[in-house]
Amino acid sequence: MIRRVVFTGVLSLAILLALVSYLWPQPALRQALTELGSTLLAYATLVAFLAFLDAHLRRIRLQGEGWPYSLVTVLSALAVLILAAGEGWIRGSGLAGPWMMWIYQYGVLPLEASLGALLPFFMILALWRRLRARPSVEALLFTAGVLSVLILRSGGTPLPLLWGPLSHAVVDPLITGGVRGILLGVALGVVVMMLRIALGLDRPMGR
Amino acid sequence: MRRCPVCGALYPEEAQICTRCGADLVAGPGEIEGTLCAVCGYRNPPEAVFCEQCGVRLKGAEEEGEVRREEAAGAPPEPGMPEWLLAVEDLFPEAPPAFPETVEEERPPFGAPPVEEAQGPGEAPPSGPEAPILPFSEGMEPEAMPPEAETGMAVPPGMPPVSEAGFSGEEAPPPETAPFTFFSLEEEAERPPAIEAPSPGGTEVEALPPPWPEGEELPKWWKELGLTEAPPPGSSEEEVPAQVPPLLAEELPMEVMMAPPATAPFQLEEAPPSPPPEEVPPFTDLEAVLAEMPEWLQALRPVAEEGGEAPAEALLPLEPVVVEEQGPLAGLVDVLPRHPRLVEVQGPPARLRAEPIPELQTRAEAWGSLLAQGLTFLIGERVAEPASAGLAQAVERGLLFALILVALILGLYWPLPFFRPALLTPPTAFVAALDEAPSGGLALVAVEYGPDRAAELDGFLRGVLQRLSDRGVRALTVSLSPWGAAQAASVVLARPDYGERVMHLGYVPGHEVAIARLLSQPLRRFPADYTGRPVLDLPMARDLGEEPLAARVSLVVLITGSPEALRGWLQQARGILPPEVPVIAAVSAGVAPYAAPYQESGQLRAVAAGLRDALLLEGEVAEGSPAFFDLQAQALLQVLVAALIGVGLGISLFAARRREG
Amino acid sequence: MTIGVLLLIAAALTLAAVYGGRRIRLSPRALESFRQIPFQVGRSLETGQPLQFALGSGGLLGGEAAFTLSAARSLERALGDVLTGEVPPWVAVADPVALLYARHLFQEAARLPAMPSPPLDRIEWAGASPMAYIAGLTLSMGLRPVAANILSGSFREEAILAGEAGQREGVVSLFAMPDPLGAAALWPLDPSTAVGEEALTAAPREDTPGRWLAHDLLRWLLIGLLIAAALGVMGRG
Repeated sequence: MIRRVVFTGVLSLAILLALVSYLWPQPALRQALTELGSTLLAYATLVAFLAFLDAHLRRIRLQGEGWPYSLVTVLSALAVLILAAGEGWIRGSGLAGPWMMWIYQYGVLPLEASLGALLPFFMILALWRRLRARPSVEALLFTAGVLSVLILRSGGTPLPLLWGPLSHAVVDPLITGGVRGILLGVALGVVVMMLRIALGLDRPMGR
Repeated sequence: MRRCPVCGALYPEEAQICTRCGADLVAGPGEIEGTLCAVCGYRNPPEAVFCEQCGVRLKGAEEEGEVRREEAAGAPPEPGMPEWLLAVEDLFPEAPPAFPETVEEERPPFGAPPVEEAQGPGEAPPSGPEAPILPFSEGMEPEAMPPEAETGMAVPPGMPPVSEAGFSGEEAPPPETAPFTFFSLEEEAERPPAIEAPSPGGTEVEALPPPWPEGEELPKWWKELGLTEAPPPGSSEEEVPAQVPPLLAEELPMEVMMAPPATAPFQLEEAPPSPPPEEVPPFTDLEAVLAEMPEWLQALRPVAEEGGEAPAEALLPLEPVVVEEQGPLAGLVDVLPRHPRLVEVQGPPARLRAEPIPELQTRAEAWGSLLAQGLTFLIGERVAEPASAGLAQAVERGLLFALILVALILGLYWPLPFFRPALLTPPTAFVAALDEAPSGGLALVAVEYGPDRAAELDGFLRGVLQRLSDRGVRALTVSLSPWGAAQAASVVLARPDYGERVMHLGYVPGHEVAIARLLSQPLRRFPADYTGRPVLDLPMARDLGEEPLAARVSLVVLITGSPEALRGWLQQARGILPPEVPVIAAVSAGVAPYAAPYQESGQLRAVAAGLRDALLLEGEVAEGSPAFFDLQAQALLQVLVAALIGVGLGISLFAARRREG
Repeated sequence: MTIGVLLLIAAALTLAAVYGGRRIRLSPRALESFRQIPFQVGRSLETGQPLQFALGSGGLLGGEAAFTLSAARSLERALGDVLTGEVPPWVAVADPVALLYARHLFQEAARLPAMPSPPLDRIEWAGASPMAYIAGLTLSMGLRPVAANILSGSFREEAILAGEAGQREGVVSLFAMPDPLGAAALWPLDPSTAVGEEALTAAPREDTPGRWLAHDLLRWLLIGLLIAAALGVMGRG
């Protein structure tokens, strides 16, 4: 019980401290909170890395499902860590040294870019399947929206000339209005959630 | 107490919303559309034939469910915990007191029908309230009744005839195994009967644990227990423990313990059991019960472990009995609904005094292995149904991907006649804002994208830096995320004028708050740039040391692929920067709608979106240049998708018409 | 300053709504994706296959804290049930602070008597950047069978990779994401995706009707302010 009260109290205090600067600007307070957050993030990153190593090493040791992937993961993680530490120690350039940049440019960048390149394929496939499913009002509206955006943005082709002013007058306000509405809703949800936590009306830590 | 009409959870009267499924508790079942499953209480869409939750067929079972629910709703409040249960509790340590915010819950006794309808065993179906519950020691009859007797429901026609095979009455089992024997049969009664039940004499268990036939010889073990009256039609497993010593109650399998859906481990509203009504004489004579227990049974009583934890909640009553009409479970009474709730183990940890005999051990292990396989093998469906991997699907996917690839390759290498780059308009407002920055001033460039958007946004970064550098504006690149810093480094550090015109500060921790921190501090507060060189050593930062950055920055450029980063930067930066400092954004195409409101309100001076604007930063695109082919490939892909949409719609409309016609 | 005043008003309204809302009858509509979660929990318990919760690529220290927190609420709701049934879910996080929070949720849920000890090794850090996170998630789904994949929190359109992989493995995917960008890409996969404000309404275990009343009151306040601003009654800023 005491534990819960302390938790809730600290949480509310932190939120209220962060919010008080809206009424009474206190840059020093914001900075202090940011430093606290950064320290927490650093600690959490360490814990997460250790947990990650632990999970994968255990899987390798027990030869659980997918242990070759775990082996590759652990080896590459340790390799990057050692390289970065070595580079920082030897050359003093930390994350920006040529070794790290090489790994980023020829390792991380191509891998993530390739994964991102898969996205259009799957999105088009999903759209294609959905279109061929039972037609519904929402599918029709969705299709109309996608079509108009595509035609508007198909630069270099004659299509926008045929479509242009009408779409600009009709479609753009719809898109902007829709996005605004969603963003307002998100902001509302965030504000209510934050206030409930701050005022202790919520019990995010369970009972 | 009221039940949620959708998921069946129990709530106190004043609850309005079901916290499990969000349904409205106040609206009655009749006001909500949909079919209520009779077995599990789940509210299905109106056109459902099978229950989405438990799979039972909805038609047919629905009427009985309605009848039963009306009966339960119209029943007078139940008296509370049966006495034998209180006796059970006496054997175990005290449960912790209920939480103060609990609500008085009127617990139905096992089997749901009210106590008043209890009838003596072997009697004809009752016509009204019967004799009160007698104390346990006097050969007490259970309160719960077999389904066909209690509510006056007609026995489902599909019910197999009563037979004693359900209870191995004919063969007198060896005494040591009697309680376990009986016990495991009850277990089978709840499980779908497709499995041959490990009955002691090898008799087949009927699909239905039948009511006890009248006038049948009482089994030896029953007599041994000292109960003279015939056992009641033991269709519900909870009645049996009423007549066997409390020993067995704690050994009931988990499904017997399965509480009505309201029972959640966390549910604080569950009340402690209310005291029994006055007309039931209080149960006092536990010793008499224990005296009747044969030696072998007493010896097998589990020993409570020292230091074991007390149960948080007492045993809870079970669902009313239900009868299946269709499918493999036809004729089964008392098939417990498949419920997502399992109640925690009741009672403190205990261990048996004696080891069970090997035969039972084997049987238990067989059950254990069957159960470990899950129910899928019984019902015959796989839980995880992969998307149909037929040839047609694979060919369709392959064709679609091939089409996209061909379009891309075509667009990247062959100039097509319908693509006219002259139709493309460069982002003039963006370029103008870039050009307005005073020579010698400082531009802050925020790089908030990672490798996945690099293809689209690197062009912006390069173009912006080049343009600023050409005009003598200094650029300071910064990022709120580590991969943004790395991405920027790969572009910025490669520039020949790094240090003189461009500097990369790298990753500043703290997300949005870091923006405020960055802008409100002078540059000398940052010890080093991304490469580790001290900031003030760089030529471009020489005169930037003293004032806060917000005072020296004359332009802010946001290059991002994520709406959160855009919003965060805008909201923070606009609060600190003087209003005459423009903020412009170069975003990926999908983020353009997010930028539009800020653009209209004036917080963003100009927006450039997508690959097209990136490639057009320099001006017109020359025929045959790499930018030309990039743009052509993009345009071709867009046209292809539009065409696919048209074809797909056509196919679906055509197929719909064919289906109707 | 205006924001401060608005926040005070919002706080007062929320308090009034939560405490006053107990007497008001409210009937929120059940969101399909959240309605599915207890059903999937049940399937998981029956079949012994765990669920997989993906909490998104945001963390608890940035702008996406609210989204991650709301995702953690669905996890919290399900944890009590699945841990009792000894089918602990897999949780995939991208942010280290979210990992700590998920661990905390597991430990809180395991405080029930007779609950098995919290299997903390079910929480995995699948990747730091959004794309790497989705790659890790897809790999996990291919390695082990899960009953359902619940993606909630800060995702963008890369979540479609996870959804597509899930379809191929026969895993039901439930999506709830506040960001419409991601949701738009996912709509062909799952039309009942909870979007925007809906995604932030995952109810904690004990909840009051006044919560929705607070949402509504604030929404009306915002609408009033917008109308006033549009009519030029309020000045800028």
